[in-house]
Amino acid sequence: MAQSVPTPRRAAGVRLALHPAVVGVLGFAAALAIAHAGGSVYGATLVARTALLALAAVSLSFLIGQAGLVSFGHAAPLGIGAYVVLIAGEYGVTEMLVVLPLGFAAAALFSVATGAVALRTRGVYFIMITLAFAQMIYYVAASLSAFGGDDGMAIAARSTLFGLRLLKSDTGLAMLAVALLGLALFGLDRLIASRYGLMLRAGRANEAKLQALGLDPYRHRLIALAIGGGLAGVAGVLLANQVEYVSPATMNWHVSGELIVMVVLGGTGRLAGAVLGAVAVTLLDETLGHFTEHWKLGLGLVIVAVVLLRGADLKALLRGGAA
Amino acid sequence: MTTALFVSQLLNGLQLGVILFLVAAGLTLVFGVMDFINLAHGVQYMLGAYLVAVLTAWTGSFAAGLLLGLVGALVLGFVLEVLVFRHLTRRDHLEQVLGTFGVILIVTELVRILFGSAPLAFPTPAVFAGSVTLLPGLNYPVWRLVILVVGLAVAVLLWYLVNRTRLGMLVRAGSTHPETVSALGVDIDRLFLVVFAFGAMLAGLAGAMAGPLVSVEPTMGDRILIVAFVVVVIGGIGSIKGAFVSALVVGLVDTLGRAFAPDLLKVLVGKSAAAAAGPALSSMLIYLLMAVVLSVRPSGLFGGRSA
Amino acid sequence: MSAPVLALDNIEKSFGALRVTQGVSLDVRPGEVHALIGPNGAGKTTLVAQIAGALRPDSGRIRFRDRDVTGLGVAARARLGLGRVFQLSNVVGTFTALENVAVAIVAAGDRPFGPWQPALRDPALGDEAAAALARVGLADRAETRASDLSHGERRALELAMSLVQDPKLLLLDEPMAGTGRAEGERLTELLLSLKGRVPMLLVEHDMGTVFRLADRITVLIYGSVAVTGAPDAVRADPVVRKAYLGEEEAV
Repeated sequence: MAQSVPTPRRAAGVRLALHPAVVGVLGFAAALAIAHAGGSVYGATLVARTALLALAAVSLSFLIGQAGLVSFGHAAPLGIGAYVVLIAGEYGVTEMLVVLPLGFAAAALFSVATGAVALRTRGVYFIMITLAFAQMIYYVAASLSAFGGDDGMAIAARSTLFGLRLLKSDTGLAMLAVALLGLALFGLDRLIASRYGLMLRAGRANEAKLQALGLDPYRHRLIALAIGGGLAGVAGVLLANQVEYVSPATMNWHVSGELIVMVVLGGTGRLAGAVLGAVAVTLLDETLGHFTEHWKLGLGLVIVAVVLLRGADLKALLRGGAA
Repeated sequence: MTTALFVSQLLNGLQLGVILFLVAAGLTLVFGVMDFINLAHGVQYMLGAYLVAVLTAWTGSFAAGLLLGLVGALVLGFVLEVLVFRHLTRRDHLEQVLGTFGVILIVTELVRILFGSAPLAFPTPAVFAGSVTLLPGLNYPVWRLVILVVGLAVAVLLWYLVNRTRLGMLVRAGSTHPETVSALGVDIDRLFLVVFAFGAMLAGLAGAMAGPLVSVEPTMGDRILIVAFVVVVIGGIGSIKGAFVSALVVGLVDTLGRAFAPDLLKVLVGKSAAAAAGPALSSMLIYLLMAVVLSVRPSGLFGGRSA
Repeated sequence: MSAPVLALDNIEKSFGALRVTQGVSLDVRPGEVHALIGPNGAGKTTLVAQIAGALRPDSGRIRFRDRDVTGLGVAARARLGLGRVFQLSNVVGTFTALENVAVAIVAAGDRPFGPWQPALRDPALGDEAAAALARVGLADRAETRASDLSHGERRALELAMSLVQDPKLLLLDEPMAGTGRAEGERLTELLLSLKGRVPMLLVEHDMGTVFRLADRITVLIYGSVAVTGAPDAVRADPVVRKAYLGEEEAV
């Protein structure tokens, strides 16, 4: 687990350098630098896209792997973040420092409101209910005729940062996405190791015992949903800026499914695994997608193969392949 | 609002309800018996519509197409169970979600490769084309009445199977006390195979019935699947009775809500506000219903096993 | 005599037609070890679940520390000081022994939300957890995953998790079950060392342990109390001998 007891033998500096947040940020930054040096606009787009999807996947991994909440509706907060960009833009608000917290708050609010009901249940009920609530918000978005209805619409303009048009290029956007991903990894790791995180993880591993020790983890879980949903909202804000278009399709339940795929492929035990999963799925999309419009067939085959082979862990698979 | 309009919407709601029931019945039994979450159940619905549409066109007879199509749906259910699902039954829910999601991607994409993304023609069978006058001023399509009759007939058949046969007794026992059934020396894996394939056929039947009314396309199963989840959650996992009652309620609430909620809102909050909120609210109704039911009864209306 | 820590008053519980708990009344006094014994199927597990708050009795009242707790859930009763050691050792298997104790400290504490400081690098928390492990003889197993501990060690760990919460009553559900001879002996010594300081309700099959520890014994047969009394009186009771001890000694 990511939050194993710190080894005192290892120097603090080394520990920090090996922190997944640092490694992740450096990896993405290197990819971005290479793309930039090669003069590739496409490379920057790819990095931005991968980083923001990784952020969404990490927020879901926090819920699934740490809180034990298998949400099948994570596309909903992602889409809500995207709609915040669209709707705020229509009202002339395009400053990232406003839109970003707004996207977090709106998505967190939705997650808490639906979570208050969903948390009354367990197991398959929880999975189905989160899916159903996400579908509900999907239909609500599709009925917003002022904002494009079924088809969605283009955003007024990309968000500004500090009033400057720093995000006009995908390079700028990629840097922001990578920075936010690093912050999220670092912050969530910290949270997981804290007293709050200890209770959250204990509730996932053995709820009956935690109850017998005097703690009902309901509030802890509600807070986890707010944090996980809010971060997905942040990813949604970035997504809307990257594609410059927002539609209900962002909230399609297939998106929720693909986020789960990323989390599980990378391994649910560590947040950083979700980053690996996001990179793998995006690369699969980019490579297979070039050969055939039916790339989802390939994705489906990979998923079923991984699950059936009981690998369910990309790292284990890679190790097996390397040996 | 005229009586004729209201009656026709009422019938539409019931008709949606029985379609939902056909889909939800297999879903709830598979949940109940094996604690197995099957996202790919909507795919069976889609396959049923495609099989019957294609086989009807091929044989030139709807009856032959329907019969062959149902057999085909049953066979596909068997094949998927043997190839994939049986290996997932004892895994945790997350892996089941993932595996069945993968199956959706594969099957949907294969159908797209074979038939394209465009909707497939599925004409109403000639015998049942046209409409009948039920009330003065109410002409109602015959096909929709056929759906109602078939759906209710299947409900009666299922009730008989579940309550009056040995197999049904095992299914009922299995959905609430799986250990007991294993202890009785029943092969729970074979029971699962039978229930699963039968559920796949029912979903296929639902797809074939709905075919002439909706557009037959590779993603048609997605929408119905999620509404069927709502039905299962409201009715309580593993309960056929719960699935039936809740399917009818959900069908009625959704249909009547879409038909009348905007008008009702106009009276309550004025025209412009209603125009904005009406469509959003009416599409939210069944989910709000689910939320209310769960707040009162977290394991559904007829939930045998707690969540 | 001071008021009992725990008092059950005429508890009834039925599953369908089966009356599993039939008008059970018993109490645990301050400092006392009260053993609950009975043949298999006597309804001990159901009664323990009702005392812990996992099951709601159909009728009757449960008082704990002068409060009516009949309507309270598991977590609320635990917060009042009802410590529980489960029949099947119940710890967080993926956590280390130290983390398990830390969970117990934080869960009952007043700061279960501290979001930023890494919990286990908080010296106050770490030291308290380590001390609790030392008290039950697990000092050198602090960094071992709970799932890798032996059965008896897990029992001791569970006890440490309860003790660290300063319980006002320990509910011990067959602590000796599945432990080896040496481990069982060590566990009994541990419980003896707690005797007098923490009142205990001990549900146990092992008669040796029961008679070494208990101040009073209640015998449950077919869901109702057959007899309550001092160990010697219970040992001599003809009903008990016939229904329970006779068969045990014959084995």
